[in-house]
Amino acid sequence: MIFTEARFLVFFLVAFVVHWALPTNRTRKLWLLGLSYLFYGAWDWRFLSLILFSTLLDYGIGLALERSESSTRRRWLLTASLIGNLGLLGFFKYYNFFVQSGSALLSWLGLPAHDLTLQIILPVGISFYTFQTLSYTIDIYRRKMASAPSLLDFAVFVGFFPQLVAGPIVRASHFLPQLVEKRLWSRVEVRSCLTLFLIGFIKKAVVSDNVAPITDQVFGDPDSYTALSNWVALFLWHVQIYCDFSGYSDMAIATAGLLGYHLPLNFDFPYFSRNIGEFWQRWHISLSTWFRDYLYISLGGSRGSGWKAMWTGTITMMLCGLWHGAGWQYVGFGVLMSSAIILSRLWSHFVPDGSAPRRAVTWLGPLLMNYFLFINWIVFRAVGWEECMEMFRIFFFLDAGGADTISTLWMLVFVAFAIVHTAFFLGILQKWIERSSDWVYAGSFGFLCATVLVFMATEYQPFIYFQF
Amino acid sequence: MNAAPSNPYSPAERAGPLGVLGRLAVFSMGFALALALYHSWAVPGGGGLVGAKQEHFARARGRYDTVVLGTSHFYRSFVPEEFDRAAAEGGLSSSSFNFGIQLPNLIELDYLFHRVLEQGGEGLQRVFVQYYELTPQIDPNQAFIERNVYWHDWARTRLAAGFALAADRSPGGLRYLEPSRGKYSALGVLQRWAPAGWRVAIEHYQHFLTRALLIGRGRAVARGLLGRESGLTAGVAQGRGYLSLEEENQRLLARGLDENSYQRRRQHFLENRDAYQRSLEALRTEEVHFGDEEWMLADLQRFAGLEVYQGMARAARERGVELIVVVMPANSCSRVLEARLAVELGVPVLRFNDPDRYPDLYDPDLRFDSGHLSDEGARLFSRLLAQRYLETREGSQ
Repeated sequence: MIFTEARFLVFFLVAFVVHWALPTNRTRKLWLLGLSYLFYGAWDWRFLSLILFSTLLDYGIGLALERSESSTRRRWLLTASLIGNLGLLGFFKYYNFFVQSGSALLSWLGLPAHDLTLQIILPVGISFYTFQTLSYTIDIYRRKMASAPSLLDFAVFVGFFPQLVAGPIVRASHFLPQLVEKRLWSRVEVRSCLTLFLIGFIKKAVVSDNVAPITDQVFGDPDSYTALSNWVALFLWHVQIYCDFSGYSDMAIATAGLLGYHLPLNFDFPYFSRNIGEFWQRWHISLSTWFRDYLYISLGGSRGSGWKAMWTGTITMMLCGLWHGAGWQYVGFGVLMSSAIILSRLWSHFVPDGSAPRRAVTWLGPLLMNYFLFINWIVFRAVGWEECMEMFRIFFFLDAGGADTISTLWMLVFVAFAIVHTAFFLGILQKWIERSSDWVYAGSFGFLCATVLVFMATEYQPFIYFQF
Repeated sequence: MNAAPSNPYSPAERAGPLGVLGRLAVFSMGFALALALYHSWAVPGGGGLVGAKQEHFARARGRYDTVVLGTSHFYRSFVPEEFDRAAAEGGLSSSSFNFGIQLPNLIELDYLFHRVLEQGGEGLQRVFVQYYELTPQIDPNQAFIERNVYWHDWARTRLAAGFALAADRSPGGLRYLEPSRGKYSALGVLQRWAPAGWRVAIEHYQHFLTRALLIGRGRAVARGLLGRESGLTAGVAQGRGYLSLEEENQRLLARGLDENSYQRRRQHFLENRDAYQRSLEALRTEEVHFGDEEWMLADLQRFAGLEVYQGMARAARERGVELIVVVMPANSCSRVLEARLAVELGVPVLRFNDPDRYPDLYDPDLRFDSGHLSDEGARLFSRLLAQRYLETREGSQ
């Protein structure tokens, strides 16, 4: 079940009405938990066992950590949580990747290699909920928070359906306190939530899903297309990846908001960033801050020599890349990102503030940043190394072998996106929405809802980040 | 397109129940207004060839007095000029159009039949409809594609849902075809408890809603608004709805699609002529053989199908248009039903699925594959159809 399906709207309508009709906080949480498991089970009920395992393991470890004073015992408990969660993730997501990479290495060394790969289905959302539960045990280990007040609260935190399968990665310290008190309908910002949901819906169902068949076509076989078509596809992918993922986050935040819960902002106009470092502060914020707080800082962060900090940053970005998928291109994506951050820091360090080159680069920042993202997207999106190299050749040298084309009219999607996105960035549309009366808002919202239904893509396109 | 505005209203300013209802009413009005506009702009549904044929037929209102409607068998077997020429030789002036489409549902044909009656203008005199079986369930792996949605107006939805529910009540019931994905879905497990007919009926109503709300029809709306005709529509106009399998195959081969389905079927036919001959023998001797699908009760299928044709006959009579049912020269038949059709419907039923009477139509050299005629075979069939029709007219007069 995805947010743009009709059955989700029915599901949510029932969830919403019953949730606010229930008299006590406890019954509401029980209701939410049941709904969340049904929502997840709609993909594959067998994988509910993984969520239950993760929930019970980390709830138990959280309690034990809180009660234990012995640092050795606490370390062991944390290790058990890490092994449990990362073990799940490692097996379901990375087992075949490591086995295949190992086999390739053995073959390269001339040693016999056996095929030990398994037919493993990647459980939806495993990368998200394992990171959530890990943050919980690490925070308790660091004595930054107390354990969850009850197993029910913790289970709702892990399984809360709006953010269960594709984030934002919510911290226990942010969400658990919200479960203690009964949510009040009077505090729900209905208009904001409805608007945000519709914006997310448009991003996903109208923009991303309509563009997806085109990008799939070109990225699948770039050499069959002209250089212009490859460039158009790249522009479209730039729009698609943002609309797909931030669209999901918008809808997640909005649905949680309508149930009275607050989820953190996950995207803050990342394409307006002036450099890659800033981009990661605005793109998938809940993931980048997770890696910063639980990996980068644990590895030493910016402490120590410059080289050590660079190394730590590179390791963090490589793992962040690998989090996106079990493939070397994702590691490459992380390395490229890390290199850009290092270059940007070196530039700031060596080129004096206020100098002409510095001013020029600052002024051109968003343009350069987006150009660099294009290069990264090629690595990220290419279906294999061969296609990746083909696309690089086409991208840099306009050297395309194919004659197939996609209509350049598709660039209108990019232009329209750029205009609307900029209008939101400048706050123009928000002002209009805020100032309009309820009646104008209701009529416009109705008109827009019908328009969205008409222009949405009907072919089922799972969210890109589901595979992560 | 990122952050939503903050709510400018404090809880104290929240609307009361009447205010909420009022806002919902305004929301509904905005919604309905948009839908009404888009409905008025959208070009006919169905997509691809089906949409193109509807679009051309609507634009050519009054140009055709004869329409043939049916499956790919009719689409690939009816050459309008050939029919008109043979009819003219027999003293009947006609201007015909081929409304054959690939893999239709019988209820889809019923929908198109009614559209033809509506849009045919005063000049429309006769509609040849191919005899075809009813399939109550839409292929679950093709659900919600435009082709399966567009014919779900209220009348056709009720008809389809009614047949599905009736199937549940019949002995043996209906076997539900599960989609290939969602095997382990918890919702799928819950749905499997429901009777198959109910599930199928609900799906038809979902298709109705999808059609009514114009979900995913943005391109059709944009095309209607811009008044742009698709290349396919122009092609339909050129051939008056007919395109031979040879030509279609050649076009695909020219595009480098050597392994296209037409080519594969042609190869298979050429390599398995013995099997084709055996199926002809079976056709000669076997009394009742009803298609390939065994999951639907054949008796019910026939009964329900008959009801659809009865509805068509009624509508044609009311409109003053002649309906002629045609049994195509295919490799399956139901002799009992075919005999009953003419009696029940009160309209001419022209049977061509008789290898003894029409040996040429079953000649492998006049076939593209086991089910479809070649261009030469199609020309022969069109002439035969005109002759048979003229005989029927003379007989009735």
